[in-house]
Amino acid sequence: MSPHRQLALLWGGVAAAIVALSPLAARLAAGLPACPVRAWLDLPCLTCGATRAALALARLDPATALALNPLAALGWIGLVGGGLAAGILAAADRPLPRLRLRPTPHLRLALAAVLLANWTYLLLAGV
Amino acid sequence: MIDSADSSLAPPPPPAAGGQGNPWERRASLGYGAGLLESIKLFIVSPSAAYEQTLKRGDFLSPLLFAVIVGWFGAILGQIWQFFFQGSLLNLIPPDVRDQVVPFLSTTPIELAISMILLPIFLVIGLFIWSLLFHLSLLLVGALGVSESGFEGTFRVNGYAYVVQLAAVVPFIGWIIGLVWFVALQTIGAARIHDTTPGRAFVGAVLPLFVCCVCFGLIAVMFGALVASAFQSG
Repeated sequence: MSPHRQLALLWGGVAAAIVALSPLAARLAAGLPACPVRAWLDLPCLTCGATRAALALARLDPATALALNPLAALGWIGLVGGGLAAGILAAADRPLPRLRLRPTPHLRLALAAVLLANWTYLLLAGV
Repeated sequence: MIDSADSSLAPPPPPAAGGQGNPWERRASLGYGAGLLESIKLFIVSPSAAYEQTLKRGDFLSPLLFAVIVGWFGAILGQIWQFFFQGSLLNLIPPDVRDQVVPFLSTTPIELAISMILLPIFLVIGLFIWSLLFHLSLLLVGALGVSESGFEGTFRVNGYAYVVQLAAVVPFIGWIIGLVWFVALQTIGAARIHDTTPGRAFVGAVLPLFVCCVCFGLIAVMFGALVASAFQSG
């Protein structure tokens, strides 16, 4: 099996495991402490709201998840949705699309801008 | 769907890129036990040589299996230490802090058994997600400009860097050693596998820790400071 197909099956397995474990998400997250950055500085860190967004997605509430941390919510949706799609295609022996990110300066700049925009949102929304 | 060769735990085919394969990647000829032990030894005592031998491409299964085996073994070591020292360590912590720490610790044999069974699943999820974040970080710092192996290379670097889970053999401070060691292995591995500079590889390794784990890092520092103060006052 090609590494490309192995990756698709691995991604699919990870996505399926996340879905399967989602009923336990609230129990697992209950043990997590509050964000010390917010406690000390009264400001959200870059990942503030990510756990709550994941819990909202586990409850199939994407609107709340996006409001809590848009980037984290989209990341979770992409990880699980893309993984399930890739896994099904690979398991069915169907052709897999190739996603190849060229590490151009524009892409790097865009990535940094997205991170900054998400943090700005968290600061303004007071997540 | 999956042919017979795919469903086995067979090592990767002959190398297409990179070195000749580290001992774990040559387990077909060395044997599974010898390949695993020699790889663990190599990644501990000579990580540069280990990553020099590691294939840049070939398969996802080898680093995945390696990470799950050493990660599971490291977790068992950690649980053994916890079993022997949890009580005495908790007695050093102020009662109000102890109440916050106790929920994180497995207390009953059933919880322990469940966590050991589920651990490989969490290890695979963690390895995959952390490799994604590491890869994005390497992309952000421009470390993938001439990389031939792409995400697979990053996954291979991270999978073999999971050898740091064995740092759990050191009680109390094993996780700190493991964290520093993990960054060092990621730096060495990414520089070698992606043909980038150690500086870019280091920034790429550290960036996700700051972005994603600043909270956990601060909690760790707070916990460490509390334990240290408890030792001093005791």
